[in-house]
Amino acid sequence: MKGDSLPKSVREQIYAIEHGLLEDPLGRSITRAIQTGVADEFVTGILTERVRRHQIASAFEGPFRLPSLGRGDLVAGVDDRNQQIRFIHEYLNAHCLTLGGSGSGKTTRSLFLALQVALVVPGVWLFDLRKREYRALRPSLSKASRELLIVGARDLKLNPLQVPNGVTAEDWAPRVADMLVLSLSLPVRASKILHAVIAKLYRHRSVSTFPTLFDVRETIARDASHNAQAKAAILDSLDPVLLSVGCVFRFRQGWDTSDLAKRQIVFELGGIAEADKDLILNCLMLSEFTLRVARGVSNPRMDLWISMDEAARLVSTANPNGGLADLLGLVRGTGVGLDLSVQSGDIAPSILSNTATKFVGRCGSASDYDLIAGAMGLTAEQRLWMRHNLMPGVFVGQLGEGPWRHPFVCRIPPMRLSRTSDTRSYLGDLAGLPVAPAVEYELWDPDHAESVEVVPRTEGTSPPSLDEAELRFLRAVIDQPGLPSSRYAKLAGMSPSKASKVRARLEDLGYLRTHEVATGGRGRNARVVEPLEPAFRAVKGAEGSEP
Amino acid sequence: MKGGFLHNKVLIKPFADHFTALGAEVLAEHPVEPGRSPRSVDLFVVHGDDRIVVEAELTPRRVVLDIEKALVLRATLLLVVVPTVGIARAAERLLAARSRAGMSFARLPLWIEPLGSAKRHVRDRFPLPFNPIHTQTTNQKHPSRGTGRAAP
Repeated sequence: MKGDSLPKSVREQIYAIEHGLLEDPLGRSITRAIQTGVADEFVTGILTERVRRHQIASAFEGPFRLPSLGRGDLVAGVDDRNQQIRFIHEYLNAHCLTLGGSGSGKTTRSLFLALQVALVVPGVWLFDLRKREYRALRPSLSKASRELLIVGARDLKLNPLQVPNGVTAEDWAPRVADMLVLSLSLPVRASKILHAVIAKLYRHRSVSTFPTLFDVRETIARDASHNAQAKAAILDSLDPVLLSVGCVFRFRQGWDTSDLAKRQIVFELGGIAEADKDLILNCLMLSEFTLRVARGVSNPRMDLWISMDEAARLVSTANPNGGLADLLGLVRGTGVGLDLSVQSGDIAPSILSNTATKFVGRCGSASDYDLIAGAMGLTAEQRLWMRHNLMPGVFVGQLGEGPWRHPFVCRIPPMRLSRTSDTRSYLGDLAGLPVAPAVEYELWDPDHAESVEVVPRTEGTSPPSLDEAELRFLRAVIDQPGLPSSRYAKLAGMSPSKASKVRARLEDLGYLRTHEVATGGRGRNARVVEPLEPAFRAVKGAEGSEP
Repeated sequence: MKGGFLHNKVLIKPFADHFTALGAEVLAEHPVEPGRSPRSVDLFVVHGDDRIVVEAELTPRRVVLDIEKALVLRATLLLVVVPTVGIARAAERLLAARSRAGMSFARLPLWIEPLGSAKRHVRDRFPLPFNPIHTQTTNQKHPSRGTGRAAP
């Protein structure tokens, strides 16, 4: 049946139902009166008036419909009529992505939402990956009897190899190995070594303790049977992390993420390197997510909300190994909601697919609008409107769940939070959580471990030619290694100044290495000369070519 | 043995040679405790009643661990050989700070020395009829090398 053939009152009623105009008690009475055929002019007049007002408002509003989102425990913002746009917090289970250029109001929106979510969800993790924004919520939440803990990157006490409660070591070993491979961006062969070493460490561990990243590092460094390049790749990736944030991972038993998931915490990771952030983030999330997946409970009530400000690197297409994309897919329906804020449209496709709720603020590039508009299914008219009308604090949003999934325009009210220069950590009762430090690594230093020798020239290139004096010097060093450099002038039969020049050249070419050692009782340190592998090859080659 | 050229050939080898020439039992990379991957000391020397631990360190950081290992081995002397005087002083400062913090190392005679003075101390404390440490330093010239001077 064509819509035009319907009576005017029915058409108006259909319009009113579609736009949620009859959801109040009077609206329900009007619906009942029309359906039972007792509606008089007074009743239809109310309906007509509501429809007319809505149509006029919609005509002035532009391409986006006025949202019919009046119920729920969270406020997304206000619409053009200053009506609150509400939704229930369970919708956040489907994850949320906010895209907006610098100054578009992303952080304000995130703070606005976090302030509300913290009142209804027991566990809240707020990650400040670059700045220190979330700590401003602490005074406001304390007024609502919520303690927001502030944890700096180096206050954390974690062990990525700690098996979560309810997960077996056999299940955990490959996951943590994969996580380390992703976080440290290791090549294929190195990842196989890492898998094998972690499996071996778990097999030989005692029941009550867990291996640490230091154990992994030392086991790999000690084993000479590994491929040298792969071993070097692992050590090169692990050493900076352990030197920089070794204090975080120097625990056989660190904080249990199930304990952290019951608390409201700001993780301030701004002061550490990106690789360290990746590892800490993955360590926290993988542990918690795996635990939830292992529980086997599907679609429980949301009890942990995770928000990340400035998460650009984690979701970037250029960083597919960041691991977050995989985790997002894993965590759906385990009672965890994720909220990510990014500045540009450099977003991995899997992130766009796995974040059902989206908000877009003012962007600096039209291509960013096109990307997010495509992901949200916006019409050409809506895209055009968005390019020219978004301003700081105004967002186009689309909820991922619920009966009303049309895009809408919302405005975030300004937040008057007291910005403080306080940079202290507030660990609260986290300081009392049980931990077991790995005291043997308290003074850990990578220098004591076996170094991986790297040949200074690449395969396929011809070695630089050495003259007779240089070969003589090399022979002297190989015959009597470890002497102070001044001794080799006489041994090689050349003047000290010539020997000095020869030694400097051989050092540059990677044949020799010198170390400063106090070989005498007084005076300046001697320079002790060490022959390297190319020196042995060069001398052997020269001897082989001699008639 | 763990460690590179400087650690093994320059810092440890002279002492291994000295104690071997002395007739002592010299054990390289001696484990401190049982197990699959125990901690170990670079050199453990048993010479009569003396139980000497020799450790070479390129940084001062592990000196406290060296002391712990020496105590486990019931050493009568711990010799920590470092490349330079600066590292030796830094290690001494570290130990002084630990002592102030309540750690006690009084039970163990401890030498933290750069190579040159460590060799001199060892030579004085455990003298040999000849000196393998300083084989290059002698006033006896080999007839074939010559000195450039006319023989008397």
